[in-house]
Order: sequence, then C-alpha cells, then structure tokens
Amino acid sequence: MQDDKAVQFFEEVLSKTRAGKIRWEPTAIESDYIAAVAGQFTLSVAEYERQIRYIGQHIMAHSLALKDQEGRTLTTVTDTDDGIPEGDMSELYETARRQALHVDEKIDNLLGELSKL
Amino acid sequence: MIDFLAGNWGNVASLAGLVFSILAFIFSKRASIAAREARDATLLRSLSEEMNAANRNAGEIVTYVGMGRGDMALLRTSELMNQTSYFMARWDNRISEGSKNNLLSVREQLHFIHDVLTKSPVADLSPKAKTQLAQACQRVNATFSEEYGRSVKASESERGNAGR
Repeated sequence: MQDDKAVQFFEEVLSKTRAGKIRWEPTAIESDYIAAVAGQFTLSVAEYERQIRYIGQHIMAHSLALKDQEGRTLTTVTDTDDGIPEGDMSELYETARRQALHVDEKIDNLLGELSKL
Repeated sequence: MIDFLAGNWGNVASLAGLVFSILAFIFSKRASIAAREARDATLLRSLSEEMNAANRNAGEIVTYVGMGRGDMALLRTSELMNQTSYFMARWDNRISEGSKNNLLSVREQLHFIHDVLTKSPVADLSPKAKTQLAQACQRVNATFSEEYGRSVKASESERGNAGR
C-alpha cells in the first residue's frame, strides 16, 4: 500500500536536493550521507546491496530515512516502495553524494588546473 | 514660599510622592534588566564551558583514532553522543537553528563513528575506511570548535551588555 506522506516527503527531499538547498555531509561509512534540517530533523541516504527474489542476483539499492530530534527513525523510504518513481531514489542518492563530496567543485578545480597544462 | 507650602502641603507631598514613584519605577526596571542580562551571561558562560568540554572530548576521539586506540575512542564517542543529546535538550531555546543543525548532524556522525568502531578494531580497517573514520572524527571536532567559538562570542557580547 502506498504511503502518500512518505512519497511526498521523498519528493520534497529530492526537489530540495536538486536545488542544492540541503547540506549533505559524508559520514564515517562510505555509503551513507546525512543532513540536518530545520534544527529538528536528520535525513540520511544510504546505498546497500539487495538480493532480487527468485533470481538471487544482487543489486545496489538506496534508502532515505528521517529521524526526529531525539534520534528516533520516523520513516524510511526505499526505491522499491509504492509511489517512488524508478530511478528517483538512486538520483537522490547520487546527487546527495556529489554534493557531500563537493564533486562538481573539485572537477571544476581540476578542469581549471588541466587547462593550464 | 512658607505660606504657599503651608497652604498646599498636601499637593506638594503628592507631587513629591509621584516623582519618587517614577524614579523608583525607572531604577527597578533598570535593575531588573541588569539582573536578567547577568543571568543570561552566566547561562551563556555555562553553555560555552560545556561546549569547551565537548570540544576537548571530540579532540580526544581524533587522537585515539589516530593512535589506533579504538576502545578509548569508542568510550569518548559514547560520552560525546550523550553530551550532544544533553545539549539539545538543555539549550534548546538558547541556540540558533544553525547550531541545532550542527549538533544534530554531529550526533548522527557520532552514531556512524560508533558503528564503525564497534564492528572492528581500528587496526583491522581498510586504509580507505580508516581515512573515512578519521575524517568523520575530524569533522565532529571542527563542528564542536565552531560551536564553542559561537558560544564564547555570545557569552562575551552578553557580558558586555550586562556590564553596560
């Protein structure tokens, strides 16, 4: 069954992340990134390996979790949840990762250096 | 003059009473503002002292991880997680949204650091995982340094206001 609130939450996080409004940070675990919002909530995106049923093949899956000020997990959205368009969760993860690691700035920096060679 | 006072002593006394009441009101208002500012300055000094202690703890985590002392780093990480939760509850109405975000993300960072340290000894981590861990610890330390600086600044400006 589709959780409309969770879908709305995911879409808003994706939209704000695309707009660069959320300050994602790397963590001690390479596949996890976090962001604190409004002084009350923590968001985290994670990449993990998931086994496809019946086939047994492993694929990379992604999740978005919301925690409150006390550190309780309020909701977790994954790419297999109803109402999450295919590819959107991996886009969120990849965008958050790039922002947390400042990938674009570093590539621009490198391009600047390369142009001087 | 004496005749005037003798004839209007009641009015003069009322007027003098009114003047004294106004002065008393002004002085009590000033005293109450000064007392409130002194209390705020004391509270902010206490916040900055606590932030300083947390900053020292965060620095120790960086050192212990660097030395490969996962057990000690884990101990300090647990302490700092509790301290951060305490800050959030204790100073909720005193700190800005930016500081709250910093403390929230620090607590989350500490959870991840705790997870890594619990799963395996620092020496057994891959070089990449070790770097990631060290960087996360450094980020926590930097955030606490920033928050300590902010609280000292707030405390100094509050003390300046109270001293005026």
